[in-house]
Amino acid sequence: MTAFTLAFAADSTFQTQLSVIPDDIADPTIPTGLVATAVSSSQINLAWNASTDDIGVTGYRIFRDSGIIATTSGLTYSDSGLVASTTYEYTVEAFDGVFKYSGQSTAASSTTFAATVIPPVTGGGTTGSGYSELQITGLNVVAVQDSATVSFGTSRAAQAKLYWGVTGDYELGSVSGAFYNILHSVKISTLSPGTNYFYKIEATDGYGKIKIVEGSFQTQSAIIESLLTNVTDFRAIPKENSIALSWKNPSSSVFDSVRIVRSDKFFPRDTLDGQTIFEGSLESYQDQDVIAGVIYYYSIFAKDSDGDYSSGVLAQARIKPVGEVGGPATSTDPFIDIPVLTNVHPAISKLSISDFNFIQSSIKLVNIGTGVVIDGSKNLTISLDYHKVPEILKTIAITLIDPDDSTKVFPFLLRVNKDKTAYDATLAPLGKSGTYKMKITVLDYKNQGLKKIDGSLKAFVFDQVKDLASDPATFRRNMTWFIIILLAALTILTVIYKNRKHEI
Amino acid sequence: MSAKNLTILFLILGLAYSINTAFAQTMTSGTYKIQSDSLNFGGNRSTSTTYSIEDTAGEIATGESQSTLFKMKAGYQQMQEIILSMTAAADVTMSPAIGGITGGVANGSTSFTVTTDNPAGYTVTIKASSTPALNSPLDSFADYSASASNPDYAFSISSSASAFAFSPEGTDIVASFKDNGAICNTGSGNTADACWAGLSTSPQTIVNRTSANHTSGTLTTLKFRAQSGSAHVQTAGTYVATTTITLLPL
Repeated sequence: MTAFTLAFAADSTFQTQLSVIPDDIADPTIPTGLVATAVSSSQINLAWNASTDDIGVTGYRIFRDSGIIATTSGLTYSDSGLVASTTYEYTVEAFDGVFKYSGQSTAASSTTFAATVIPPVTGGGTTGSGYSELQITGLNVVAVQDSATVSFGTSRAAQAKLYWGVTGDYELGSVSGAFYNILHSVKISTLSPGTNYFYKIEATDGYGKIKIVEGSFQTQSAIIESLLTNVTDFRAIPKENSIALSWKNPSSSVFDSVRIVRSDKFFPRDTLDGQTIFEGSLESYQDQDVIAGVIYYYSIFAKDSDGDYSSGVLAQARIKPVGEVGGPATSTDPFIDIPVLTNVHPAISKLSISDFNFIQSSIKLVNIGTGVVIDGSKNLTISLDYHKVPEILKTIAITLIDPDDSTKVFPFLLRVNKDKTAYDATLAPLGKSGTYKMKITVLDYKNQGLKKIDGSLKAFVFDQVKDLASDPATFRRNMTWFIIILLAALTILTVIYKNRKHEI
Repeated sequence: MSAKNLTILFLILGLAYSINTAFAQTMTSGTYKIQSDSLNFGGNRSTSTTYSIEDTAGEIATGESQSTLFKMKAGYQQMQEIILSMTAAADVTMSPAIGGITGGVANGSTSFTVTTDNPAGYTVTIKASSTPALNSPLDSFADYSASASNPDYAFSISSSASAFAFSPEGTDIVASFKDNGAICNTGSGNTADACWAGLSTSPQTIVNRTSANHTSGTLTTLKFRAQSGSAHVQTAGTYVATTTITLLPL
């Protein structure tokens, strides 16, 4: 061979970038130094010192006599349209980009100047020194997922106009009342779920006097049912040198595989919170990389064809060291022995069973007291509105207890969904009638607290009735036996009758 | 012997004295490799501090030969140029952003395609420009440390730590990044998001191929993962890792 072979090397240099952001751990600090100064018979000016927050203060809400009247991003506000010679009390409250509120400042009061004489607009009517400012009373906003109803009264007949938007510019629209009324009710439609809206009411009386009230509300989060359920019957059984894990995969057509994540600290909260020890579509696995005496916490997540995971089901196990008598060994309710610690976040503290949504076939089930009646032959989605708990590190878990055997427990996680509208879990049909005790546990890692809520699921399964009606083979089999028994009975009766007749 | 014949004889002897015979040899440095195979006569080697040139007076058996089974280029200082190309790897922005206190996991990926007609194939190495690789002006993520000599099948760190790792995926990745579904450096599988290792300022071989792949080329995807544990506090900021992949012929 008589040739040179020449090949140069090639380089490619690139950068990998990652942002680490401050967590919104703290509430904004409470504004200080609030001063209220009357500048006329109808206006009071407010000023206060800035609050601070770990992700920055977005704005301030201004309260007059305990009612919200405005929001602003500045440190001053002019409250106009007030009644002369009247004392008003104000507070302000800071909020950040995720609408965490500081709590209200110390109140500041001021009295508007004495009224000046208002000249008559036309002959007669309520004018002059006897004129009183138009007032808006009894303001109430009821918001659902896609609409809100704003109801209020006016101190005398007035025509009202309502503006709304997702900013203080009320950019989304307005609607006016057609008549002068004392009671007003306006419904705003086509709103987005889980969204904060600002609104402004502008009421105008027959003399052209205007009263403005501003505020905000938040629509309810969307209820989303997942097609993929959790696995069922997840068990962790300690053997001599390993832990046997077994489960039943969901029967859903979108099911792809499961991932089992393990930790020796506590239950993994998601698919990456621990060591992945198994991925696949089998229904059992022997965890052999274990040490006697160590409690292993397992979370199993079902994955669908889009790569999304279910909320996760829990089990724990511990191999007894040689010679040990007693002690925890098999999978039981993992939260039963954890004491309640009341120093949880206030929003977690006030959670009750009524805050949780129970959904079957896209219908939200009615919560009766501490329990919910469900169809045990259908998937069940349990969800908690995202905004009902703070954005802090936490675990939300539910344990269901078999109605016939209290040693059979089914603990699972509620995890935040992709849209960050709710924490939810979807369960396969329970498959058996009875009252399942339901224990909800919320672990607040930030405050080192734990909240427990007890409830129940009353499940009804109508399989036997349905089998008879819907399965022709079963129906024919049962009818055949019925006819055989009937013929046998008739034969016996006939023989008895003939014998008696013969004896007679 | 006539004077004319003597002159011819001396010319032949002089030419023979200047013959510079070069046997098959390979020249390499850290960034290039020249495979040479030449039997020449005449010429000389010239060198300076920045280059080395070998010239020849002549060579036999020159030209291009070809049959249905082979194609050979040979000749007087004739150079066979191997096609060895690599597409540039794009910059990576990992997502989502990680909370400094609550922690979390961020992922990102980039890819490159190598094409060569070199029958001996090629190799690709990866190295970081710093230790640890992923830094901000105030803090850094530790280079991922596998629990054993092989890459870790599953990315796993302590809740009180943070780490940054990479995982190559493609048909020509080296055996240490292949797996059997549970363990790396075992089996021939290439499970997605499996077999993680930390970057280093020393080159690590990630791709090795011993044949040509002209003209389709071979795609390799580099995945990156960073995690800050729930009990670890990572200083807020923008973290950057500068990484170089180097393609070398075999």
